[in-house]
Amino acid sequence: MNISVKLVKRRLLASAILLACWATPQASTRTAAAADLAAAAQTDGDIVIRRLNQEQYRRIIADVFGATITVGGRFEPEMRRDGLLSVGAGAVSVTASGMEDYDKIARGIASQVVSEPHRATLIPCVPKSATTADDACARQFLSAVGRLLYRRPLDDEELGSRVAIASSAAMQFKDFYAGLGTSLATLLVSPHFLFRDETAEPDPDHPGQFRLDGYSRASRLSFFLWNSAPDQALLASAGTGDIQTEKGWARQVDRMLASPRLKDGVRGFFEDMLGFDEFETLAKDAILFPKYSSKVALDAQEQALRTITDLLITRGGDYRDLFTTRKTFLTPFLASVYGIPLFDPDGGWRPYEFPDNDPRAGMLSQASFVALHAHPGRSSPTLRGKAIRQVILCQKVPDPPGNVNFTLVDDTKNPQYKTARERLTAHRSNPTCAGCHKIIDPIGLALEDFDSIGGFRTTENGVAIDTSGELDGMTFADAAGLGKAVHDDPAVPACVVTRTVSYGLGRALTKSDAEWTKVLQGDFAASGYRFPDLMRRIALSDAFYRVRPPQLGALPVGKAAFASDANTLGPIGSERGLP
Amino acid sequence: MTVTTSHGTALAYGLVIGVAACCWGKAASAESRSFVVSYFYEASWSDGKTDCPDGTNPSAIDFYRVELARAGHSHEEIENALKDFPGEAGVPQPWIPLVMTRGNGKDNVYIHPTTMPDPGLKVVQGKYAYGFNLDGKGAASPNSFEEPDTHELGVNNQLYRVVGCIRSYRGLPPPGRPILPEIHWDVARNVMPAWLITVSSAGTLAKDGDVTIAIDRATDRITRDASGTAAQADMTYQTDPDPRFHNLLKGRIQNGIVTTTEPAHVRIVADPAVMPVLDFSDARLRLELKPDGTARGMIGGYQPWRMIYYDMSKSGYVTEYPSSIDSPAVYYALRRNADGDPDPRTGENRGISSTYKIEAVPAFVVSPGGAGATRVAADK
Repeated sequence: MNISVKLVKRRLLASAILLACWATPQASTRTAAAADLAAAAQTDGDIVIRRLNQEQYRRIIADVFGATITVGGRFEPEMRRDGLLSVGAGAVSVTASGMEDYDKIARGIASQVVSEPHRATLIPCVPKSATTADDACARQFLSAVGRLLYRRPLDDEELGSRVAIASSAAMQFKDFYAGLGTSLATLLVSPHFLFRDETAEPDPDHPGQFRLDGYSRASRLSFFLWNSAPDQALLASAGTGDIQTEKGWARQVDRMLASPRLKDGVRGFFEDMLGFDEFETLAKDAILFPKYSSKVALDAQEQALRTITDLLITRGGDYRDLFTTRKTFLTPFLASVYGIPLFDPDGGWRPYEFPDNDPRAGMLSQASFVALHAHPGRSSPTLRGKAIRQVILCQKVPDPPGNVNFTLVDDTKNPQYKTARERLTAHRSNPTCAGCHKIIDPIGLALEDFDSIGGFRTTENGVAIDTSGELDGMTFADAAGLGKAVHDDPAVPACVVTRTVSYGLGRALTKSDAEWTKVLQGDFAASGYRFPDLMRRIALSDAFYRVRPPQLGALPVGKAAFASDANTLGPIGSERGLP
Repeated sequence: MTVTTSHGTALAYGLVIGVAACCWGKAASAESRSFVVSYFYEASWSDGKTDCPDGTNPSAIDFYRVELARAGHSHEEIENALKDFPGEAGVPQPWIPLVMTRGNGKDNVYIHPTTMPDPGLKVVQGKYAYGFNLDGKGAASPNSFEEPDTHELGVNNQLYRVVGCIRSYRGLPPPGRPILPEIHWDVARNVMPAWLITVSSAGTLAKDGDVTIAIDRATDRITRDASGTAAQADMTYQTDPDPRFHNLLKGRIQNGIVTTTEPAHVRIVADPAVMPVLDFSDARLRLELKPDGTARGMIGGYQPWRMIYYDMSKSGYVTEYPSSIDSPAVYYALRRNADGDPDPRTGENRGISSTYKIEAVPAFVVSPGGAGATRVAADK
């Protein structure tokens, strides 16, 4: 790598870091309903600059260039904050090595896009000569693609610099497409692509206040509902200003909710809320659980997501029924973990319904929950109970003190304490531990019929497992009873409302959001806990787009923060090679 | 459609089956347990001392030297050819054409093993062998062994006698898997449909009584578990409807051990890369149903020895040199030690007694049309 390329990367990194640390822009309100007006006025309205996550990155590339473009490479690790990666996305930057990875990924994508098999369909023009620059054709391509990648049109300066890069590289490589690919790769490492930057503008309806501009509103909507960048129609609506009108705004929201892509958005939210990123590092003892593999881990997540989208979207069901439903989907491989006969010649997904007398009911009994919240070699009523408190009920459970002795709990072959219940009972005799265990173990013990990977069992060390438990006064006999208790707990729908809002805004909720979320919770209940209705309500809430007024001494707003990133790219070094 | 399970509960399902009922203990009048064969290999017993008192057979380079010299090649010619033995593909390997024709100097010795005299394979002389009393003569059976686990006398396993002193076929220490058959099986199960065993009782398998044993070929290959070595337990397989791939044996279960009560003809189609078919006459099977759901045991019978020779020699020097198998020597030893199925015309035995070890994990087995073996959710 030559010096100029290093300089480019350093400057891009600096821009990215600058943006990630950049303070909030401004605010405005727009009412979708009278109730919202009052509620929205109470919100902070901070803009959070969020880094695209891996799924969003891949989805955008597929949306813009098609599914045949492969995205290979390692992505920067994500960070969970306040229960959500999407909140952590507003607090992460790009490391130097991460920038190199983004660069490799970008060049890999660009080289495929301009390759012979793809150029006919992905590049809207044919250059006058394939061996030299053609600014008009490059401009046509970069303008169209840049609008989709940046989620807004490139301004003259941005587009001009990209065309210049394409031209310079084409002449250097004596290859128009190599030049175009080089320029495309710079778009893909731009902070404007890698980060969801939002721009505020004065609100004409409320002088002195600010609102998201049309393109920022389109982006916020699109990532919320589809977990991807805006499509052409949404960008067009932003471009004409239609999205800033009551009718235009509602029209777009309804169109997006009616789209099959809503499933992508719902999946994105629940993957985040349920902490499925932790599957990437989840390990199981291969001697004790030879059935568990990376394939099982993938299938377990997919089972949960299919169960969720089937109930919430396809069947328009009650969110709370996720904890009691017996309808799900299985692959033969996952069925082998559950000990269920299921044949499919292609090993694919099949709908499946557990019978009424089956101990498996609801998502808490699925491998995606019981395997994720268990140790490599044994189950964990504590981890499972804690996860229900934190993930499903949005309650806080303190971490254990640093000096706790876990020897007894870990000793699964203890001749005196043969079941997890017995070991935890003995462990709770320590008053330091008793407080927390008292609120989490009675929940998690109901799932003890499921081993570390989600397999079913009725005994541990030859002793029958007692799965009775209690959740805040509601008692139950087994996992199905726990699911019913969770279903009936009013904290459950309240939790998903706050999580959904937080996910959409990219920040933890504050006291000032309380009124708005209270309204949303009421509406959610009134809708019969229909999740798409909740999403619609949030998407049409003025508070969802409200931004705070600029602070004195704040850094430049929006695009200005990234200004001239393209201009800093400098000459294309010969060692950079073809994209 | 029927579904059988490994979890010890009888199942007989209709077109749409209450699948999950199988796993949580409904009372039943009949019981079946199914398995998919995870490992299958020649039953070799080697203690490293008594089985081959004269030592094992030499490695390839050593028997090549002897046999090439016997064929008339000069010492210099042989050593020049073997200078870089075995070498690697892509570089000259002058020893290959030489050993391929080490009989008469022109014919392929693997196809025409009688073009050279019997090299004299060292065979097992020990007392023990896994297997069955196939000829029914018990201790009076000539060349018979004692079963090392049950101590039954009169065990006929001449295939083990032939191959047991070839290094790559030694199961050392017992009950270790012999390395070459293990490798062959590892390759074969990747490409051929799985083998299924279903043990059924009109009552419960927990009590002693009569059983039937079905040996089938599946329509799909085996699925490996996370270790990559064993089969994934509790997978569901569909039986191949072709009747040629179905065998039904009568047996009895006693103390959790299933044994055949009547000799049968068992034909298991394998894969040409390993062995086209295992064709047992007078077949016997013994299978222990373990408390952990797995099953271990063995199957034996008389097999056409020429098919076994084909299996061992089909790849010629490619198998011969890394596995220390002198193919012509094996040919003569198989022919000399064959002990069953005499040709009515010549009186020469065409079959050889043999036994293979079976390691199996629990599986669900559905009959053809098994795609419906799910409890279908109402809305999909």
